[in-house]
Amino acid sequence: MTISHDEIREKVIATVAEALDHRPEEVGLHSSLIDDLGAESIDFLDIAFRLESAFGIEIPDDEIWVGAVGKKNPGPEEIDAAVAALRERMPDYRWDRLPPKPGRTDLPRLITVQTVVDYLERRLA
Amino acid sequence: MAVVAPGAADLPSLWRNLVEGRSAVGPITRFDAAAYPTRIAAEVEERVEDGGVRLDRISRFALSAANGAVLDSGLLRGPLDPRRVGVLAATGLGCYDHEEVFASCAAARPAGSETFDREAFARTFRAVVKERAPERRTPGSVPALLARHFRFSGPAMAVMTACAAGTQAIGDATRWIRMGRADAVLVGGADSEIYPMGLASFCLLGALSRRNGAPGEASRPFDAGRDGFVLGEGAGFLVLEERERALERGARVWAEVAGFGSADDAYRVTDPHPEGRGAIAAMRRAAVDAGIAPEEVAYVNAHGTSTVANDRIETTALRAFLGAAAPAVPISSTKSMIGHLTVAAGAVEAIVTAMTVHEGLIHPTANLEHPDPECDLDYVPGCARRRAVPVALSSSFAFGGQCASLVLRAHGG
Amino acid sequence: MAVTGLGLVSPLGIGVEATWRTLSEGGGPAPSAGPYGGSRAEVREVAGFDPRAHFAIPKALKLTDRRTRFAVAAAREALADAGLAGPLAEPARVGVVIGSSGSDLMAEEIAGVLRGEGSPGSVQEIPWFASRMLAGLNPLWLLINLPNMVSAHVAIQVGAQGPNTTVMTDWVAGLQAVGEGCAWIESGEADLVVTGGAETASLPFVFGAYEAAGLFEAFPEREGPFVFGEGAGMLLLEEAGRAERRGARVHALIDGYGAAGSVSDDGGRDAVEVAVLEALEAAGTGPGEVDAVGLASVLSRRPYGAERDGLARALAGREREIPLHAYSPRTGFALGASGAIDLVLLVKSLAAQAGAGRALCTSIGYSGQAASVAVRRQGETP
Repeated sequence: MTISHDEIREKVIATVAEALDHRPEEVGLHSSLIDDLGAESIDFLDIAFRLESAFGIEIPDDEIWVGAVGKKNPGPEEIDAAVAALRERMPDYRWDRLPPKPGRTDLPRLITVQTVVDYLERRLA
Repeated sequence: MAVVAPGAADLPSLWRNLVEGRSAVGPITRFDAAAYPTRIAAEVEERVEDGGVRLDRISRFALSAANGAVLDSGLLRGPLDPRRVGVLAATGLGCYDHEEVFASCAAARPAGSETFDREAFARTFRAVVKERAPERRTPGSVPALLARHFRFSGPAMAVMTACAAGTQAIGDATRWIRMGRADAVLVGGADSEIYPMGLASFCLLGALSRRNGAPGEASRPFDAGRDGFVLGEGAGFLVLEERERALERGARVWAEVAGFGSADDAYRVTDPHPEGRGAIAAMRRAAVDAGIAPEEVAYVNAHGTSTVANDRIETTALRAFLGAAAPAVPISSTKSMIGHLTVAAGAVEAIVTAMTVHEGLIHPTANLEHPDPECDLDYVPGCARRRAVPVALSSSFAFGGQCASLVLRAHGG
Repeated sequence: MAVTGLGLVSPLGIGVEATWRTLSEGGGPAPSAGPYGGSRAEVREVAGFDPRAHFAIPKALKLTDRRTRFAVAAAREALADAGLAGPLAEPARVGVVIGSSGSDLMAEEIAGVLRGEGSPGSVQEIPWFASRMLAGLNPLWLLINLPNMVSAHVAIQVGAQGPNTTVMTDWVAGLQAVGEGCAWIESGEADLVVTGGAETASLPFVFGAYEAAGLFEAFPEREGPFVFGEGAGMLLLEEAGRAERRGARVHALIDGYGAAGSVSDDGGRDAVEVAVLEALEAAGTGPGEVDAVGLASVLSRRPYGAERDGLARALAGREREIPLHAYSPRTGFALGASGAIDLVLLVKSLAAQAGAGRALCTSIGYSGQAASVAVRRQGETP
């Protein structure tokens, strides 16, 4: 079974929209789940659970989100490196909302709809 | 006061374990936990004595701790109007029977069925149902069970604010006595979430430590390496009594409940408010109620769960509450050794705080090896400390944003 | 203590007025068979309830069970009724205390996760059970089912940062919550308290457990089956002087509360008697002044008999002259919410009936706990 990029994107947007109580048109690829869509920590569990049913796969724990920063409990240097890489990958993200030197608690704010789409494309490739 | 606690036969042995920094966490033995990502907990080794009544585990814990507390108080040795004695218990989670609930549910969806079959559900439920089914449906039946057992005919009530409930119940009991609703209240909490569905539901939330290889090191509040909490189980009960009445009958007084505060974040269901506004409000209200200034607090028994979010925000809240005095106040987490007793946690921790005040001895926070830089208060790593504690604070915070704090004072202090 | 706001969700209507209209005009939904096959009990369910219309933050809906949704709707109605819709002026001074006997456990969802295994015995194989649950159950299950979420969600939806508690003493929880709410205001812990009860009884475990205990057995005084109900009844309480200063309309004053437990096998009779006498004493009045009694009569011989006999003793012979308002035959018996739903209706009836100045609401729990609340119309002398 193959699934196209467009289908993955649409399904992810629909799933995120439903979990966070938004209309799909309010959800963009660069929307930060926390800053733009109002997600709290349990919403990440909920979204992963919904994606499992939507795509018929199992998603081990926080694999999707860890993907954004590379590691579950990064140290200060690893955070700096991850943020630098994300700046490169996500030029459209509104970086002005983050403090100049983001800390560990800021990392989840960098999870966007694109983070989820990227993860699923890797998984389903 | 009395407890049913992991790794301890009674309150003196619990206190000894805590002071010596001994962890009660180990592999789960009550059922086969092989399929769970978390396979450790702080279990109670229980000798079942339920007088021929088939009580659920939580009710047995409650009855056993309540028995101990009533004996310890000497309440029944003198004249007593049973109508003036109330019962307050923090209960409200898993009393339900695994077979009753899940065998019936499984039967309701046999292979090939697309809908919930009410007939099949009922048939199985009727076949497996045990005695006292309504009491298990309603964990709030525990205080009534205790009231009947001791023949206390004052008000009996169950309060449920999840992980804050034990603390809440003691606050409510204090108010009952102050307002004259009762002369004495048997108050406490009982819980066990160490059963197949309880463990599954906490695993699903990603809330539990997975340090299965080193159970004794799994609960590490305020440590940089913490990865979630460890489930404990048990019960703690106290007899609270109007001060003059207790003194008149010559009762031994462990400590005095000086103040109580309750508040709600009114923010989110699981995320605490980033500045800890509910926690700060509860602590401030407790201090105001006790008529003390925050800098008078000589010891804090923290909620300290060992989750990333709680310990950090609790630090922020303690810093805001204690003000300039914050770095000098010893703060420890009982959960570092006996895990999280969920609904009963606040009751057992209030008892531990009363012991601290009474003995002038502060138990350490176990496993605090590399303090999280964001948890930079004096969390008493290493060894117990001997120090007079005239005034202490004990706090509990719950899913749902419910926060409760107690101020205890040394008797005569 | 002034009652300045009322809120209600019941099978007879969504809102106090809608319920009151159905109650006065007759009608309402017919009871249905309920979720438990072959049971003699029936249930009246709330129909046409759209929870989205009541949630300020609708994302929270996925974390709520049915009773919590009822609670939020009734709480917001009570606040609006008290002229306090919108953001609260002093959120830290607003408390929430709600009674509820238990949560839902979501039998249908669990059954969906365990489906297809045929043999119920397999749930005793814990590794199998665990792997099914861990892979298939909604990870939010615990948060939806935590019983205290009922008062937590009300706080989140209305922004109440004051004291917050859920009372769980089976059927007496709703009236006990009202008693605690009064105490919070008297002790100065809150200025405003949203209090009452919320419950769903249309649950297979509720039917199963109470059937096993023989609650549905018929008795001669009544015809027809035991009928469960569901819903929420909420009151907004504030100190009477405060209500007057802000010019709030006062539905009634609560001036007495009593609670007691039975320790003998009288089913709670003595507890009812003591609770009623305590409530009357606190109100500075006696049985001679009572114009109406609301009783959360539960349509079943044991608790109903105990409640009636306890009342008769407390009212010392006047019980035959005083009109009894037993709403549960119409609304269905809503377990822990029943006392609060009855109290809301009793307060409403006090306002509607000329001549009735003083009423008493009682509730009795499965385990023999009783509570009683004394209410009077404002302007009536105690």
